[in-house]
Amino acid sequence: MEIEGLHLLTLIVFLPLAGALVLGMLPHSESALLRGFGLAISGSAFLLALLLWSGFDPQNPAMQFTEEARWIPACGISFRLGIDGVSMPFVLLATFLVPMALLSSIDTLSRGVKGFVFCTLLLESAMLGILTAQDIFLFYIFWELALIPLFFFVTAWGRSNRSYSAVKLFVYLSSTSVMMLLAFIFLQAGNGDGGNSSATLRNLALDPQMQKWIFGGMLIAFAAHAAVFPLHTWLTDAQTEMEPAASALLSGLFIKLGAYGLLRFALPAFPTLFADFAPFLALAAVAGLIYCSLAALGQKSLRRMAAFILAGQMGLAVLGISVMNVEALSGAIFLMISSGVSGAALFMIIALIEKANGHDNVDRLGNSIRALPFLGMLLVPAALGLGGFPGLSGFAGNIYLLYGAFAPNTLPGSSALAFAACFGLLLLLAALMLMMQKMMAGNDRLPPAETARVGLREHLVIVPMIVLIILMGVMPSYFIKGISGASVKIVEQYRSAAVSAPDGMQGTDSLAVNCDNDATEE
Amino acid sequence: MDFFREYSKVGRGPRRESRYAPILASSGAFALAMIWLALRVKFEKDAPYSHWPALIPLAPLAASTLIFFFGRFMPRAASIIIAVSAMTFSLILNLALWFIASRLDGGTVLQEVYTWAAVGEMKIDFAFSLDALSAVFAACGIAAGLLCGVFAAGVSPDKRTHNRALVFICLFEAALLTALEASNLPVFFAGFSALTLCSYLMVGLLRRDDESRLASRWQISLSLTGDMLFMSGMLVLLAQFGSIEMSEMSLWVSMMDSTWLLPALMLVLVGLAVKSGLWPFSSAVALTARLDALPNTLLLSAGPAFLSIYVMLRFGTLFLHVPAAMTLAAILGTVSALVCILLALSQRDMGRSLAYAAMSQYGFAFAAAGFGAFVAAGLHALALSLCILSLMLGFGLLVHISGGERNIYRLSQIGLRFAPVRYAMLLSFMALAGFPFAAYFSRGQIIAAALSVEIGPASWLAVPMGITLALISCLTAFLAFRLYFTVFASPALQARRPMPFAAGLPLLAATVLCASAAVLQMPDDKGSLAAVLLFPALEDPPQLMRLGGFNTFGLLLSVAATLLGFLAARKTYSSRTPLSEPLRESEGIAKIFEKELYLDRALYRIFSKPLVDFGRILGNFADSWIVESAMVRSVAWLARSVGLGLSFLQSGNVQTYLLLAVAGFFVLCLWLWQAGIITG
Repeated sequence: MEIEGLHLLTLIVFLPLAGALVLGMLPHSESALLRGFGLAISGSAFLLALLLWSGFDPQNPAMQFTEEARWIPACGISFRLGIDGVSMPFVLLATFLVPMALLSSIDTLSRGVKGFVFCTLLLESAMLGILTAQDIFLFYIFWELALIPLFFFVTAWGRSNRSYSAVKLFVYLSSTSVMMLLAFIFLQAGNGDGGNSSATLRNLALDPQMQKWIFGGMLIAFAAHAAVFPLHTWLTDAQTEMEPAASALLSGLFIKLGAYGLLRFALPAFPTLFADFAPFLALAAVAGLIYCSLAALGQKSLRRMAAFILAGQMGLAVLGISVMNVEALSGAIFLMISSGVSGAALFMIIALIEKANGHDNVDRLGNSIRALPFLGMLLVPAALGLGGFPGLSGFAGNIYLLYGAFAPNTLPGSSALAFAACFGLLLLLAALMLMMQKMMAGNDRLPPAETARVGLREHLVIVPMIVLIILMGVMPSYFIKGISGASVKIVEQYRSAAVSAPDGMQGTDSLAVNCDNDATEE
Repeated sequence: MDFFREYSKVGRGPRRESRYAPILASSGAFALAMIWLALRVKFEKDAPYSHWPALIPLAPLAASTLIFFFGRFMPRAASIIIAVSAMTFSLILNLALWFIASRLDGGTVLQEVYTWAAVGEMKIDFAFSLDALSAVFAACGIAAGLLCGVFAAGVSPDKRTHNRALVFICLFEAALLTALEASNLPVFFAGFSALTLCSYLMVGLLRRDDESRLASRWQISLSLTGDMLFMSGMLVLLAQFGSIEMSEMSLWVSMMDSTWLLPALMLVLVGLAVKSGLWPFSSAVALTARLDALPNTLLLSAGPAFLSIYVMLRFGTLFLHVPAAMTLAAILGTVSALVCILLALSQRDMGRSLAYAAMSQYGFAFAAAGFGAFVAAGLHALALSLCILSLMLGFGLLVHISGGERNIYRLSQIGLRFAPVRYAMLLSFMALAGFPFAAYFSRGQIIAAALSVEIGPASWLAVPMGITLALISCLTAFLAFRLYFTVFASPALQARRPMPFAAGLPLLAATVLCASAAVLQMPDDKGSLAAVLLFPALEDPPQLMRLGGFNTFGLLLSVAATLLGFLAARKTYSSRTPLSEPLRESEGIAKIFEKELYLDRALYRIFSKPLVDFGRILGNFADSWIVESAMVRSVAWLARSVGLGLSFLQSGNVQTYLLLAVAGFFVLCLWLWQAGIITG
């Protein structure tokens, strides 16, 4: 049977949403049923994603499995979905992480199970929608939808300072989303006959000054979502307060969506402006990497430490996007995927350490490795995978990204930035090592962590992620093939547009030719 | 025969010794089988041996995995058999492939296991290549691991510790062999970094206490810093030259942009120095030296410093084109060699003394590479590796027998006069001192190279550095014989524990290897024997083979320095009674040196603490107040102020509203006029 005709993308995107609606009708008291149902739905979405992957052609850089239906013709809004080498791994990651997060929440979550599973499924649907939407307004709708469950994750299941963190999260993300909405409205107006399709965003007939405003709005919105310095403070607070399973989703996937949006919409729409802004973006990214790594070194809360580390790593990924050559871009995307898996695993491990000790203060942790030896085995690959240790998932991303950054004839001053990024990476590794040591060895004067038992099941939830971290480290080619193909296309389009664009115009001719070629190939 | 008679007296008795018989028998049978297999290979281009190099690091890795997961269910002997067999297999395969490679065009056996990743212009194969240079270093490294594995069987107190030691040793070997037999830089870096992790695990987890925790923290911090510096340099080289193959390094020079080569090599060099533990980055070495002999043996004989010399040889072609980098290598090496030998002399802990002596000699080898004497550097590192292997195993045995005593003066009171240990260590001490037969000709060549300076550092450095190196030779000889006379040349008292057979055997083997290193250094008409046999990989360009030959002046100076050191030590220590050296605390400068110049504290105060404190300020103050206030609180304050201002305007007074309406009208008109919508 042809996979193309199955409307797999629609199924994957809306299955969790439909599941959430059905879940609403189930009784509150049946926690096991609610969890089982949530797992079944998210597991099915993962299986569908695997089916999608089996039919995905990594050599083809164009959009695949495209689905289109007219939705609001008056505004030119369509229901348009599609997937390429950049979004495919993110879709797999999203569908993989949600069941893992639900599984890990079994032992850490005691109240509001129904609401939690509901919000998780809603978030999954929204994130998958963001990753597959090819219409800017459809993208925006999913974007806003994702904020709702996040807000409740903090307010309903958060710790003592949850109100402050929730408001902060909402202020940061909603206010910047409004900027994005305004930008999209102007973009649609300037896109002429192209409507809202992301594929035709390059044919813009807009005033140069207006273009700068639109681009600025999009840039701030995406940077805030990606927690790029100095717009990262919402992330550290939210991560500290959130339910750990939700933290895994936030760090594992949600913050990566900001960088994804930048790549999918801001870059193709404004290649010349992107080229102008790229040095500043790269500078902010590297500054963020160093700043967040240093800040991580000084934290007393494990969760905050991990949040800073992840924010720092997003800085590294944004550097790769700013450099904009095939190696750096592929490295950045791969790094985000890797960081998604390792970051989620790390947060789950932190949750277990926290459960065993009753708190997450690094100065008061006992010798956890004595009480939880298996956890040490899981922690080492998770943390080192995040730091880019050879043989583990982050290495390929780091090496390609930095190779691209050091390559001649890229961004002005990129070599200096790459040197600085290496220094930042060293600090990031130092923070990870410090965290590992505190988690494993703890304070010698305190007794080993034995206040609570951590069961085998809680450990086993993390095992698939560790396996994936090792697989991505040993055989990255299996994962990077599709990313590389899509990156080549993005970089080619960007270069031709940025080079050929006359002042004030966004390279319409060359990009139109590229789009025509793509259409012919398809 | 006295030797063996005495040896059998201190063993655990025939019944206990028979435990090792199956291990030795199976290892021997395995080795013979592998030799038989190797001899059957035909030297053809597509012969099956092109699929073998990966097995060399894979075998210890598999053994490590097996023992890690199933070790607790197996008898103790089974774990030893697995580990020893795997390393024996690696050693024999390595030797067989070396033999095969020497008969192939190009002298290299290459295996591309799979394409690791391919993006844009950069395709990275997970590939191994084995030539004479990598094979000889690998053989030395495997020998160290193998002997340490057997030694662990003898000294480990329980099955758990024993299994853990074997897992770490095998893992360490796998990392080392991956680095040594890597075909390209990324794979090399994978092995190089894995060695960091293995060192950390071995130091931190073999014996879980405060000391090991502290040592492992320093080990990982400095190693990671070295890794990152090396990686930065490596990435600059990769990005500039576009090639990642180690074998193409000589071609890189033709594509070279000197602007980039200098910083790249400087980064590589400093990275290697930091990772090796050259002074002033020797804190990790000092702290690790306080621990058991086992991790120290492996780390010093086949660890990061050993691997760094290999990298220097591999990068030799590039270093030859950057005199500034060679000058830095020479200075770093010489200074490190001098300070480390002074630190070694000030120690009372035998382990630390030996560790510093080893680092001093690695500094010597670094300096040799800096003077362009690459072959001498390689030979020196190889001989030193075997010498320090023997010394550290002997030291470990002494500590075991004496019930944990490490102080050289207290060891002398115990008066351990076991002949096997004594003669084995005497030979190794002689090698360390520079007597025939080990580390002898290379040391002379290095001193001569320093004095002649044809390549590398500026000529004004030649004489001071040459004299310094000669002084270091003298001090090393003094240290070696001081240790020997203090520990062994005193009346025998009672040993506290019997000598385990399995721990004594590797000492004997290591001593034989140490002595045989001299044979490899014997000079011939084309240089030394080893230079012809072991380093054909360095023949291009020919400058790398410079100073491979017999150098009379350097040799004489080295001999004179060694003799002077020996005579001084003999006069000072040989006639002393065990208690003649006071056991009081050191004072003044001696204390500063004994405490390793307080370097770990200085590094902590200068780098680590300010970094963490700065991070604390950033995280708790800057992040919460500056960023937060600028981004969130200021906006919130502005919005609230505007809201409050507007609420004041809602007075309910019609006149106020009218006034505002008129003001608004005028503002609107002004704006429309400025926009050109209304004119005149």
